[in-house]
Amino acid sequence: MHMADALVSPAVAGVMYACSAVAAGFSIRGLRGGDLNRSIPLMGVMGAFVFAAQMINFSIPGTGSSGHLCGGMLLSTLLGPYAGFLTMTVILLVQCLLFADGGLMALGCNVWNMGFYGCFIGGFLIWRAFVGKAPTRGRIIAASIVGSVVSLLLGAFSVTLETLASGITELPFAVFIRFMLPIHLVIGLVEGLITAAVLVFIFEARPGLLQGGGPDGGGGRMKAPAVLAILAAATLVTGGLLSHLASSDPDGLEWSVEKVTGSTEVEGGGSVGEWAAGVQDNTALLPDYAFRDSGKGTSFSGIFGALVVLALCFVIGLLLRKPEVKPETEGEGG
Amino acid sequence: MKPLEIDNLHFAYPATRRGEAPHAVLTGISFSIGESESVGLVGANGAGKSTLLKLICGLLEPVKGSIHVSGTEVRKDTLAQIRRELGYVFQDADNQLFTSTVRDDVAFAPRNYGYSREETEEAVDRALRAVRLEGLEDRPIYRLSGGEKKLASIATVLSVQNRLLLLDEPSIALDPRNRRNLIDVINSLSCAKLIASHDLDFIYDTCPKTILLSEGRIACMGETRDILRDRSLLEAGGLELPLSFSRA
Amino acid sequence: MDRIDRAVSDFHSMEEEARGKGWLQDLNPLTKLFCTVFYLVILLSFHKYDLSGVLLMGAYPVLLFTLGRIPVRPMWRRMALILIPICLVGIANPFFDRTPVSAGTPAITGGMVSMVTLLLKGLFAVSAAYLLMVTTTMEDLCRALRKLHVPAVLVTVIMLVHRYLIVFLQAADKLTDAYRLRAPGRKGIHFRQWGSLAGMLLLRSVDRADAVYQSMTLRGFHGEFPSGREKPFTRTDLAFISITVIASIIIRYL
Repeated sequence: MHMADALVSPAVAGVMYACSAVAAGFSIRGLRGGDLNRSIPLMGVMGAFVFAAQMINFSIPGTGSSGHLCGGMLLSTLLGPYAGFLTMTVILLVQCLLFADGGLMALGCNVWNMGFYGCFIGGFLIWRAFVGKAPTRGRIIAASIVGSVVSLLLGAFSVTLETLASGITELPFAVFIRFMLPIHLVIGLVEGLITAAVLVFIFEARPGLLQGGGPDGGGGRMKAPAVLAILAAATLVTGGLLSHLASSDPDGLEWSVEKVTGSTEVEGGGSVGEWAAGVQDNTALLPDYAFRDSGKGTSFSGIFGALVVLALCFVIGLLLRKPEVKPETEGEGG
Repeated sequence: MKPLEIDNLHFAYPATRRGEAPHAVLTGISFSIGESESVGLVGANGAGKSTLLKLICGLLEPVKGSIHVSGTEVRKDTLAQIRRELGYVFQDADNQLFTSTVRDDVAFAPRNYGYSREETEEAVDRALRAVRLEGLEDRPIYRLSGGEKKLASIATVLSVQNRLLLLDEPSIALDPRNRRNLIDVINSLSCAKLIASHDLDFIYDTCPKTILLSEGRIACMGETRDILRDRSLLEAGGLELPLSFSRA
Repeated sequence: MDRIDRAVSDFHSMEEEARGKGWLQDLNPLTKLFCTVFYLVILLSFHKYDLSGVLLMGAYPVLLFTLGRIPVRPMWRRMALILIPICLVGIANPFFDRTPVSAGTPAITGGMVSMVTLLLKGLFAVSAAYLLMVTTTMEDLCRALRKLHVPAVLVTVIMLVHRYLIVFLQAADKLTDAYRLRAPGRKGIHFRQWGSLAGMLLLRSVDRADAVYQSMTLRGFHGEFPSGREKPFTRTDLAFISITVIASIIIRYL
């Protein structure tokens, strides 16, 4: 579900970066109440573990294929939603930078689609609803499966909206969603089973780790208004994007904002004006705009000229580069 | 003030299950280490060696008794001060080396303690020279061999002036050459040392004095050569004669 | 497993390149971060029919790969990772968008053009991010992020994940090798061992986290890694930024 850069427009990327940054800021503030210094090595080392664990192939019985662990729910259950979300953010950043798993511009989207839903919805709200403070084997399995499925479906839904809002694909929304949701339902089920297996093992080996033992108290200090604020933000984003799809008329956008927040101004970061401007920039890339400069951009001479320039760049680069520096012989090592 | 003084130390882990008694690990431990003295700490698995080291640097709190490092009692409010006086070298070097390069790791403590840039560079150079790793400052940790990692982890605690060095199983997983190198390095250090190890030959080569721990108590304390030649004493403590003596 | 081996080898090769000698490696990390982000924003803002414009943006990676002597082959594998989702998304375009876009050329529809621009944007975006990371060490990048006031918590966790990644990749590799030797013919982990295999690795990571915390505390850790040597900002940095910004704007708006 990692989105590549090519699948987002700068406007959508910006909006999602903002949402993810808000969630991250929230999480850092939430961590300050607990033992921040202690949570840092825990997040770092657990992050590295999840990174490596994601590469393990878990073979699915009866099929020839394998599933993988995502880790959002796992991290949130063990470290609490704040630490879990920050760890997922870092994992996604490192995946993007070191392994090109997801784009740098699309990082905001990926953090939201995989980190936010996995940690706050699946790993916190759903976990709390099913397991609460009295974990049992059955409840852990149920929570893991439902949490993973719900997070993945929400993530898939968001990917669809973000891609469509970026004007990248001509796929109609209904087709896109009919393609994305069933696949992610299956992926979610598999992930849920893997997560369940690991959490049951931990529950039996070291139950203390599961019982809100994370450095932020397992989100125990997370209060209802905070949960509502996060849900409101989520609704605002998805609602805004939906309304944008329904009509590219800016009035429609302000209508949806008004409906959600009860006012025409969004409190906290960013005014509606800035946000609407961002969406309007995005609107400029929709099919309505299609014929504005298509002549120049797609003329044969234009394309040929660009290819010539690229070839020239290559030749210039070869000619101008400094001579190769021979590697120094190193002393004993390894 | 001696670098280390321990008086009637008791420690127990809290019970993990309801109805169980706390699990006693150390009982009535008393000894001291003088300036530049090198003392070995030997005992079977579970004898309490690592626990003792952790108590000394305040990672664990005793149930009873006291520990003084350079005259200051180890308590919650004195931890920062105590930790400037001692260095702890973890058994697993990967737990000790948590930054990206050798330089960053060795400079970690000086930078945290407010050394200036020049002082830090000097401290790093000095520490790496002491462990014979000059030239590896910019090497990333993942590229170090096992022996280099062990020496680098010692360098990380030498970069600040310690009066006392605590080493937990330093010779584990080292090949003979690296082990010999480590012995030479440790013997060249002038600070007081407490070395916990199963490697009795290593202890013989580095520590004139030894403490034998058995089931949480000090079974014997004295000259290393005497303790390590006493087969019945060692076997009672769950150990065997070191190779150097078993052929005799 | 192959995936893990490949990840370990990719990690090593990127690290070696980033720590190598070269004018790109010597640039200030903030310079490279800024230019990469600027380039990406401009690249992604191109209209989906603006094929020649997107093509011209290829000058940035082409010039940097050649001038900087950066090996290209590892980059192609990264490209393969994103090709599939991009193709899946873009492949519909020629079918749904049959608007003819060019008079005077053979019948090229908007859908075909937008699919090609999508692929090119994907390729150039991956190249730009790859160039950033293959010429910048993680600790330098983290210093740059701190200068941008990214919170210390996040930056320190990034450095720790980066440091311990290789430790856990190698541990996972050993675990799965040991498993495969005892379960020959199995492609992945059987579901009966899902919990115990990953669970054991997880418990080890919790124990390691405790030990690392103790190690950090004993050496005076107070919330962030103290910063070390910084790369200076030189005239080369200024020239690099100026050229990247000006060229991108010219290509975009002319």
